[in-house]
Amino acid sequence: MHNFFLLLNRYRSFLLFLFLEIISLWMLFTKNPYQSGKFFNFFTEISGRVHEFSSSVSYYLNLKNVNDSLMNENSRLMISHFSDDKHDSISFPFLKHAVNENQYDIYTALVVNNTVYQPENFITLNKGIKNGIKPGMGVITQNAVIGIISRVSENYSVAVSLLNTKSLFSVKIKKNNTAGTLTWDGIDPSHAILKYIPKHIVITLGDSVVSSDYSSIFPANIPIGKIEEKKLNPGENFFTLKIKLHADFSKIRYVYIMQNKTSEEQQALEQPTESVSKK
Amino acid sequence: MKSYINEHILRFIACILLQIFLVSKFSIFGYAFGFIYILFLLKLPVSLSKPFLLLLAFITGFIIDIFSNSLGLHSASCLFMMLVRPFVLSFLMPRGGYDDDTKIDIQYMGFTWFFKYSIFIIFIHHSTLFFLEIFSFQNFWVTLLKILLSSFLTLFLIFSLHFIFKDTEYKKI
Repeated sequence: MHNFFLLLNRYRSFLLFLFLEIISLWMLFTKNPYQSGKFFNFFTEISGRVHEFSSSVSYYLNLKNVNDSLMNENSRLMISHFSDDKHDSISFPFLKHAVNENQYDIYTALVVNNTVYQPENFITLNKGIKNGIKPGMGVITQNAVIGIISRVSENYSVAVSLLNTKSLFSVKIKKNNTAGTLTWDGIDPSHAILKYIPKHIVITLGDSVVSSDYSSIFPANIPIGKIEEKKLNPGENFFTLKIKLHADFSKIRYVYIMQNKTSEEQQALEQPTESVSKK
Repeated sequence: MKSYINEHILRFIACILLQIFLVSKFSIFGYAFGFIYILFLLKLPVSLSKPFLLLLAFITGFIIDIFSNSLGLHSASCLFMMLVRPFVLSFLMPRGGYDDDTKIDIQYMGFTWFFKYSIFIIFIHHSTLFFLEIFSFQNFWVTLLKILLSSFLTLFLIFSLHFIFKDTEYKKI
């Protein structure tokens, strides 16, 4: 027994290393992007505050660009206000396929932190539980899908960006309604990869890719990008398509957070059906 | 002795603030990333006990993780770097060994020694970081390129910081 304690004492630094390393690796690999625990929410709040401060500095230095984008936004709102009498002043063309006019709640939010060059990118927004944001809501801009909210604290929320090697989005090719899965290769922030398009489908370069009808998070037909390159590896039955994304992720500043009010209803309806089919 | 500890605490705060507010905001072509915060860990005294060094490495990594949405990534690589540090130190040991008051610094150890020491440690840290982040050998060459370019960027940042603050340090002596 004495020898055992001697041994323990001798390797104590290595044992401490093992202990801390296992904690770190556990945090790294069990981290589910959609989880929200009290412990991590505390850190989300802190880092949100710090990033908001730092973003307010760069915001000041970037006022000219912000002005430009606000002018564009204003003009867009004015046009839609006068030309579209069916919806209220913020009008999204893709919402006309919604179940009813009130299916989606839309919140606006400001991006306070954003990365594009990591393999897993996240976006911090300045709206949180207080404003009614919940994990699982979709984040869009006027003309592009940005990501999905994963963690929410009192005043801030963190969204998994579309530029995240672990995120999968259900999309379709607009022309022929073929659904596929959009992923990101972790290298180029202006392009994404569209997989699982069967090889008998006729694909023209430049076809536009939009969000699919199956998602309970996003409405259908939000533009995402254009097909830039197609590749069919020998022996494979599916195309691998390179998509040029509409959104410049490094410059997003204002986003909309969408809540699908019928998504719980849809999931509740689908769940029993799935469990029956599994049996 | 007291001002000596203060110096490390100040460096800890400065390195973390620099990393969060400045260095993590830019990258060169999406390939080179700077990780200036490991300067604090590089310069920790030789005489500190190993468990304490490991704890400091874990805490530093964890703070960086909180601000970059990568829980566990930086703490794991800092820990591994701290585990390897004694071996690098003994590999580069000057004749006569280290004293208790040896400072890991260019003035005390010489430019070549400090250069060799930092490039070893930085390369170990960055390799662990990037391979853990991607966790596959799929894009091996791209990852290796990222590691090399980022190592040079971090090294450049560390040396430029050193030369910016050189004058004040000389006055202290």
